[in-house]
Amino acid sequence: MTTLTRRRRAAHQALALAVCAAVGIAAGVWVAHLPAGPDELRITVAALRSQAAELHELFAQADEEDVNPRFVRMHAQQLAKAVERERDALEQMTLDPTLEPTRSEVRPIAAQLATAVQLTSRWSRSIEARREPPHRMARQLQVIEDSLQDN
Amino acid sequence: MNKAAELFLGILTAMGGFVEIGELTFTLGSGVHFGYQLLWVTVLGTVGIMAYCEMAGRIAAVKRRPVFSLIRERNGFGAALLTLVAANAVNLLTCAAEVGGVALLWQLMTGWPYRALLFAALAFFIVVVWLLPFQWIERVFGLGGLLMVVFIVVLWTMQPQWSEMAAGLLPSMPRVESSRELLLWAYMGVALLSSIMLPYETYFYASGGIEDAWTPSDIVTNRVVVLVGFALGALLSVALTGLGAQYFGPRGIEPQLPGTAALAASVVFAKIGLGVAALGLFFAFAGAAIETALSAAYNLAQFAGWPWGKSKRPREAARFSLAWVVVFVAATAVVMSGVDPVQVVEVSIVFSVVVLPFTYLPVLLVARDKKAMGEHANGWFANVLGWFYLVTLTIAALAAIPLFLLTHGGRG
Repeated sequence: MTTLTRRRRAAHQALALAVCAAVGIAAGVWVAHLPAGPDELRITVAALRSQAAELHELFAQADEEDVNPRFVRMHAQQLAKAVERERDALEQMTLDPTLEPTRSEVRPIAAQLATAVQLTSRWSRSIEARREPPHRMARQLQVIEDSLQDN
Repeated sequence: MNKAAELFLGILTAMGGFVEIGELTFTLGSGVHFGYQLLWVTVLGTVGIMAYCEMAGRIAAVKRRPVFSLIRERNGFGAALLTLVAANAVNLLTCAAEVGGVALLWQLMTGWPYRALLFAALAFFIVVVWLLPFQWIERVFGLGGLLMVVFIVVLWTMQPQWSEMAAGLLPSMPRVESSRELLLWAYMGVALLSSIMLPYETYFYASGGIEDAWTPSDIVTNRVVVLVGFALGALLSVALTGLGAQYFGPRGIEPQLPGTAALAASVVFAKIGLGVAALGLFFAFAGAAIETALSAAYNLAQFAGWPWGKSKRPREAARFSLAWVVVFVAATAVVMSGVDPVQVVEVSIVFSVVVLPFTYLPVLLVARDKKAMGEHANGWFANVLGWFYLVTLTIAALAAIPLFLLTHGGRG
């Protein structure tokens, strides 16, 4: 009798857990498919802005010879992966149509940033990578980020 | 046994909790976003982890009972099993992030491919934990982690706003401009508290006390180890928050990579600073990886009643030894899948707060039980601290996941 009650209780608990998990997964899938608003776009822009600022700092320290060339290359390589992740997020975002012009504005800056970090990951003192200074990219992205914050 | 050497158990435990890769980005991030406003959470969390690790260490010394055995005894099989699954999921994810962090650091130093370095890190951890006795693991990684002190020196050299820093040590209303910032402030507070009071620190510390063969005569040592180890961890945490506020914030950088943190050291001490910071980070991440892998194996063995301990030969504790090897292999597989190690640990830290009340309640119940602990039971002060933190952690546990969702995973 006791064993039966225990089994029944265990079955109820397992069922409750399974229902909770299913509801959680369904909610997650539903949220993931909602159109992204200004907040989601701002988060990606902020991450790209931070990466541009970091590349600028890396260049500054490389110029002062505070860091060695290998560190610059390898850190840029890791940064390049992070930039790619944000660019992917930017492209895969199902955006509210009113935000499409902002995405179009971010795209070329993100592409410039990606090129700059990739070039630096190959050659720590790449002149080509510095053609468009990263601090200027960071400033442009900051302006977009601020405009999204006001939305 | 040399009592001074016991300090390294506290230092290693604290390093694994305070400056592992997730905590590193959290503390730097809290400085970038809120300056010194969240320093009081570090103080709150440090006193909490000191209180509970002291209790767990005392129980280990008096009763020779590790935490998970208490959890099973006091919470019952069902709740204990749930705690075991959740705690070991956190251990696995944290271990994965640390293995990834070590590979990222090695890549910066050697220039070798990341994936090859992940395999090298796996081999390194298995060899080190297999070959080194527990006391040497404590000493090597505890001592190596002390290189992180470079971040304290760097902050000192940068001449921070001492008055603002001191004001941040006391709880205050957040100075924020929008409801979004307020939510982020609350999320970072909960995440910081959770990351300082990570459950694996207590599991590892109590099991370490038993590995080190503590007896009731080590109760004073336990207190000193807890105070010194965690105070050092807290100091490093404060320094990292300060670097976030002083160095990264004004430059618009939100650090997400271990190499970014090292840049703060190179700006002051050039290549030497960079090297020392990278080495310190390596020992901190490696210590955390070992701590989480061993903690997962301790939990499983203590829950199941298997023989356990690094002091035993692998043959005598075969399932325990196999468990930590499996954790390292699974952790490497997680990062091999291409996920970002920092994001992995951020999620694991937030979800670990849910486990905290289940972990700490049994510790408190046994530590205050005069029948079980005799003259070594909690005094009134330890009881007040214990209940205060249990209530605080329960509130944090309830708030953690809603805040995580409302702040888009803590990104704003």
